[in-house]
Amino acid sequence: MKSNTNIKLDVKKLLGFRILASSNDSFEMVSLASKVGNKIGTKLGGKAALPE
Amino acid sequence: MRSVNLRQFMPSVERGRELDVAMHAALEESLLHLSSSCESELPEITRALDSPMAILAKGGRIPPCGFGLYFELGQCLLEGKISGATKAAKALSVVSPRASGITFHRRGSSEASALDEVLDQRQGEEASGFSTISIPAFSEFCGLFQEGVGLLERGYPELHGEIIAILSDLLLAQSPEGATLDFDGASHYQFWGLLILNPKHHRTPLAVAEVLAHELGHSLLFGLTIEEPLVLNPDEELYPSPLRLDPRPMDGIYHATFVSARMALAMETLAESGVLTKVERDHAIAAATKDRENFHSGHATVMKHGHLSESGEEILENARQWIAGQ
Repeated sequence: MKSNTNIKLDVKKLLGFRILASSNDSFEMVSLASKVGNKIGTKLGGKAALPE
Repeated sequence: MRSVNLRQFMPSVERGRELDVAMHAALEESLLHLSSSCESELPEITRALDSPMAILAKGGRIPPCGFGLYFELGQCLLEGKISGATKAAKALSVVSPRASGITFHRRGSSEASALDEVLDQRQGEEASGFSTISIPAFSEFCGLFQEGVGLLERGYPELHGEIIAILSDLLLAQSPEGATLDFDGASHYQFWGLLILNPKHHRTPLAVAEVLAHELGHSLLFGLTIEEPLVLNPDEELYPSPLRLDPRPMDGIYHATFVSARMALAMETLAESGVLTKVERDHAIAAATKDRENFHSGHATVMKHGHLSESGEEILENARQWIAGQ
């Protein structure tokens, strides 16, 4: 696999990114990077601050 | 040979230590790959990674901002953003080994600037939900936090030990005025060891113990998500959450369901430990009842709509069995 540079990266060797790759192996490199979402993102707890 | 089942529901000091080791081993493998991949075209990045890799090679630990910088570096390289990758690598080159114990940070302070900067980079707009708190509020909560940790240590030593094995940094913040969501606590896959708390929602040692059980439940799941995701549903699919008013991806529902069971376990164990006052005990029992309701609500959603990996299924089933008294 290649990024936009000539640097060859194997996503399966990269902590976190391999989780995203394993859930959809068809990801392109760039879209995989931009796909960094809930599975390796923030877990936020809280309450609605504003009244309805 | 491993003596603890990493996917077991019951807390374990040994599991906490093993997950901390596993996350650092995965980081080391990742940095090694990035370093060797950059060697010919971007040698400055390879050189910059020598320092964190040397820390890891000696068995040292990397603080949460170092993990965040690794993710920034990885994403920039994948996107071909060389200047961003170089900047992240240079920042990684000056990261100090993680200190022992828990390090306290105040959002927006000069001391927290390095961590704040990486959080802002990695969270984007979401980071605007964390604003600074006053120095008096920070100092006051640091003392209360230690009381909560002490309560957990006396009332549930195994859970305390597992949490302390994972938790390295506490960032105190609050929601900005007028925010639509008033956060009470947060943790992040890309910042291993970090807990973000809003002091105004945790006013007693028991409340601190409760939020530790909650948030470190998320961290525990992060540590169990190294090789495969727990949940295979796309993040675009949203479902009602037992712990949030807004609909969440299935991964969030799964996490909320699991941490509800962990909170019930913590509250019920503390209630029976003999270390709580009558008022605290009543609160713990009431909280556990609500936690169990939340577990059942979330579990029903996961069972109906969730597409889980093998590890995801086993971890949640172990939690369900505890809730069911099996």
